[in-house]
Amino acid sequence: MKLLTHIGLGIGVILLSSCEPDEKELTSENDLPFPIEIPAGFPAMEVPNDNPITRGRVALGKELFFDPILSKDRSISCGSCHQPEFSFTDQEALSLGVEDRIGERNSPQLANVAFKPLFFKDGGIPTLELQVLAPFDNHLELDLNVVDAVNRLMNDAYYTKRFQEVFDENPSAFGLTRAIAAYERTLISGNSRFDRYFYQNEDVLNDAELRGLELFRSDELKCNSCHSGVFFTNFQYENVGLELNYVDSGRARITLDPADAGKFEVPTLRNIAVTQPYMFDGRFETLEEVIDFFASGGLEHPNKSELMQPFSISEEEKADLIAFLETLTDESFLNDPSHRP
Amino acid sequence: MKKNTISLFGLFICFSLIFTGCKDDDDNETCSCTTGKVTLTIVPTINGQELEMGKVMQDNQARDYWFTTLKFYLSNLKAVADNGEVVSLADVAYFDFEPNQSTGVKNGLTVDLANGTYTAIQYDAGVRQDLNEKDPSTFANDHPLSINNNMYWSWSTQYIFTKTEGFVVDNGDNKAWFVHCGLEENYEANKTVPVSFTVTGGSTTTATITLNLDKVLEAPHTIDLVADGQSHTTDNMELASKYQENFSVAFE
Ligand code: HEC
Ligand code: HEC
Repeated sequence: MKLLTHIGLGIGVILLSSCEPDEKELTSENDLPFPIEIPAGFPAMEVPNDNPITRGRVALGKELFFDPILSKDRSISCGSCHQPEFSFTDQEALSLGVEDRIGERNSPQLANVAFKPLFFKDGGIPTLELQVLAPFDNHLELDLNVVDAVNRLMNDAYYTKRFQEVFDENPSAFGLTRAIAAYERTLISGNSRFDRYFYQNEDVLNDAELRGLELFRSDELKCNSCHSGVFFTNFQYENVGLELNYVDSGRARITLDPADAGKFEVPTLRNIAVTQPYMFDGRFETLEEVIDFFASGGLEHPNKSELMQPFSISEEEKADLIAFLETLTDESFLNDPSHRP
Repeated sequence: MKKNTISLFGLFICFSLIFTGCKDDDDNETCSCTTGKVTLTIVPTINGQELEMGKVMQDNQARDYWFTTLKFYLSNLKAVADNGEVVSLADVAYFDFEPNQSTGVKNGLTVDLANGTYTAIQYDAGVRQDLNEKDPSTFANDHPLSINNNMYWSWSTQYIFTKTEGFVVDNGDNKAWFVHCGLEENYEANKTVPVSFTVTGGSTTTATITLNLDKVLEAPHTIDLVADGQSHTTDNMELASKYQENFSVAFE
């Protein structure tokens, strides 16, 4: 009788295991959801089904993000060009561009990157997971083919152990891209003084800053026609007339449509006071230079946005506008120890 | 205990019998199976000789040239039966003729096919758009679309359909040529190459197709690898399009 039960149990186990192959027990700390707080005014975050934001993935992603093991000569990491204290930018005008691409670009900030519809200044990449692949093949960035990068991780006892803990498998391109993307989704910045003023109704802005906000929204400056919404971008691609002839054709490199030449993604203005230099090629050192450029109305490129019209702005107004832009700095985000290695 | 051991052994035997089916009967003429297998092999040639990586051959202008890389995707592979019926072989297949690498040469694929006589293979040159949009890191290592094949452009996201590279001698200098062709507009659909083979139950037959690399430089477009021999598609769309179009009809 006892034996029969055992056999019965055995068959039960066989049946069960064939229905749920290799389902890992949900007891590990690694599988617990990473606490994500969505700031007031922000939309819900869309997370792909194959990449839940778990503690394990975020922690592993952070390690990988700051580990030079992923670059060919082990000299730089993602974090070299995307530094937390500068809202995940570097202070260089140009981080060299991706292989096969003409031109070089300024490294963008990663604050709130989880909420972007597309990635890169030309919108050429549809998901954060796929984005992780881009710096690898680039001879001017990590310069280590992702297949070789995964092999390197496989030969590393520490990472083999970590991938086993988190993904239940050896290092793979899947795990690598998932972990880094999960970490990037935790880089949420919505606690600037502007947020406290606007979304929490706290009386924290001074007169100059409030005058700057009015200018920003004014019909004359029209900044918020493009830099609109909670992220200060409509996520559209616009030509602002920086050049008459763009060497880097921007959005047109993806759409191959000449009408898109010179169009770049409208960037977020959150934390803008710490992400200098500015524009796709880092041509402007200061916010003042950027404002002077917008006041000029830009060069007459055939694709230039109609919203780009010259306006006059006094020195005092300029100072107010900059004071407003500085209210978008989120100190708690820039100093968050949990984002760092 | 003993009794149970015996009955378990019995069970094992039963299972083995059930699961083997006609697989074990491969190459057995008496098999009454209704399907067999076909191994579809592609042989790239230059001047009628089988391609060897690094071996100096003559290009369409009688200049010395050679290949260092030849990798490509074909989608919607189908076999056309003599009764006109069209049967699917694979959604996508990957070919790679470069030896000495971890993934090895991939010059063909073996698939199950219903018994019968077939007269042609249909294919599209490139990666079908619904597959082209997939994330390469989600495929197993042995899947044609695996990231391990190094056929993915991270920046403009999607697969390189055809990756060819080599050198051409121009006035004594070795000049690199390469064509990495991708993008939906360069997908060349609905091509057919005649090849006859007969599938018989339980056995494996072969069907061999030649990829005439001379034609890739000649027809319908003439390509001059010295004058214009470098393209990553978006930086030289014209060459990529011509190359992929020629490539798509160079099977014979
Ligand atoms: C050498 C500097 C450099 C390194 C190293 C680097 N990046 Fe970047 N990163 C850039 C530049 C430049 C861009 C903008 C590219 C473009 O728009 O074409 C960028 C863009 C991005 C974006 C898209 C942001 C947006 O707003 O669309 C993400 C996400 C990103 N990088 C993450 C990473 C990750 C993850 C790594 C490591 C695997 C990494 N980067 C390594 C310079 C770098
Ligand atoms: C037609 C839409 C449009 C309008 C109107 C507009 N911008 Fe922009 N802005 C852009 C685009 C597009 C870029 C990015 C250009 C590039 O990358 O080269 C940009 C870049 C910037 C940058 C640099 C961001 C960075 O990370 O490099 C700042 C700062 C800025 N704009 C502020 C303003 C202000 C202030 C106004 C109002 C005076 C304004 N913008 C009006 C579209 C616009």
